[in-house]
Amino acid sequence: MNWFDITGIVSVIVLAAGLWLAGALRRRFAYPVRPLPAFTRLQRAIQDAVEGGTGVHIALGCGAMTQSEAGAGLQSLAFQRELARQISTSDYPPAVSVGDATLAWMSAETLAAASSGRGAQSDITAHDVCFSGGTPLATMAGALPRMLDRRTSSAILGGHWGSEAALLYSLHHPCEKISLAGSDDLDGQAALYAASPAALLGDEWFTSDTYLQHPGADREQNQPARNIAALILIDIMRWVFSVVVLAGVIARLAGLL
Amino acid sequence: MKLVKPLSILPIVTLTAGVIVLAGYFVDVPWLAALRNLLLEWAIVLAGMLILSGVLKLGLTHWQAAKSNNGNKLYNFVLVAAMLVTFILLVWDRTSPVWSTWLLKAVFLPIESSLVAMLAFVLLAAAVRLAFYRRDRMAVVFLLAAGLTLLSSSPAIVVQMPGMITGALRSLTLLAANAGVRGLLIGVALGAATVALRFLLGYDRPQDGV
Repeated sequence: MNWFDITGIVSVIVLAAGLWLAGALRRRFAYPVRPLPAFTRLQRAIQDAVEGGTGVHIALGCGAMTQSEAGAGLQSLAFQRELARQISTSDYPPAVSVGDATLAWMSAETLAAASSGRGAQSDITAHDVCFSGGTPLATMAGALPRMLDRRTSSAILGGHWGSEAALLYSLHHPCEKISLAGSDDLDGQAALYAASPAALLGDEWFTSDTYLQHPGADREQNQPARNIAALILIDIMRWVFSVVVLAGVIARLAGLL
Repeated sequence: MKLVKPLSILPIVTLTAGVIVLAGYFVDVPWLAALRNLLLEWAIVLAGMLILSGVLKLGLTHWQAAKSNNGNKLYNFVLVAAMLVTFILLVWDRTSPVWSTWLLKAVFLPIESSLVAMLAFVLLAAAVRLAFYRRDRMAVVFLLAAGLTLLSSSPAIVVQMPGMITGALRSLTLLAANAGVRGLLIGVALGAATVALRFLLGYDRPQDGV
């Protein structure tokens, strides 16, 4: 075992302990969450969809579950669970198009579980989740018909999208409908930032289910600790990393490294 | 006889498999590596079967849409026909891939290339639109950084500039771009690691409704 392996094991243990600790602390203290305009916009879109009897479409990118993009895919499941809970009173269940077949099946399971758990008005069928293509551009093209559908009033881009996501903004109607756009890919984040006012940057997609619960509001203590714990941990670790990087720069300038 | 609920077994199976695969990356023990490889092979076979079922479902959905009376059926027919032709050609050609290579070069690559070419213009239009709907300091920084990067990487302009200015421009954009990329990457890495741990430790099980 070399230093790289030891650092990896220590990092995993520290993060796991931090997650547990943040969850325990969350039960004692309220944690304020910074407001993100994209989620305020999404909440409005969800309200419009529920009141207007229209649908919400989630377009997930083509990140494979056996590759490094799996994290963004797994997060999209947590996001779908939260979204399905919030629009359970709608006439239409959320429709999902996915660029990875494994994630498509997991999405179907997630939506079915969320819908049955909350006694939703509408049942999830096999047609609500579709595998829309195996390559990034095919996934983008496959997501378009659902976004153009008159019954879809709002669309969400999530998971692993590259710069091809910007092509969805070249068409007027899908562009207006997209109320949230997040990705784990840096090219994708840059393209979405340029194309959309609803873009998420950095780690924001990975805590999207927490932000969706109450965007910009102080958490109530009866909220599930598991969601907020991840957000607390990421916020703390971001400061830790910033301090370490700055300390390294200062030490190098001072000739200590 | 009291049966164990399947849902209570799932987190244990997930945790055990996850820990074995994760430990296999860090600890160099032959039996652990063999076990990790076995689990990964199972996962890859399963993923392959899921792709096949996903493609079949896509074809069936479009076939049903093509048979129905509403909407434009042309696209549905084209998709189903293209899927069938590609499948037959790939099976026919599996020993010496002549037709399947032609299909890739003559159909697939030109379509994808034309979409990529369109992407350049879409991104340029998006940058122009950015100035209108996002009127804040970060939008100005974004546009300025994009402009400077384009300027410093354009040979026609770089040749006519004094060396000192191009050097300063290039190091400024490289420095700023690297700092930004690293900042975002730290966020993405932390986010991905936390999500993985949430699923691994059973905090989150959305597919079970938890």
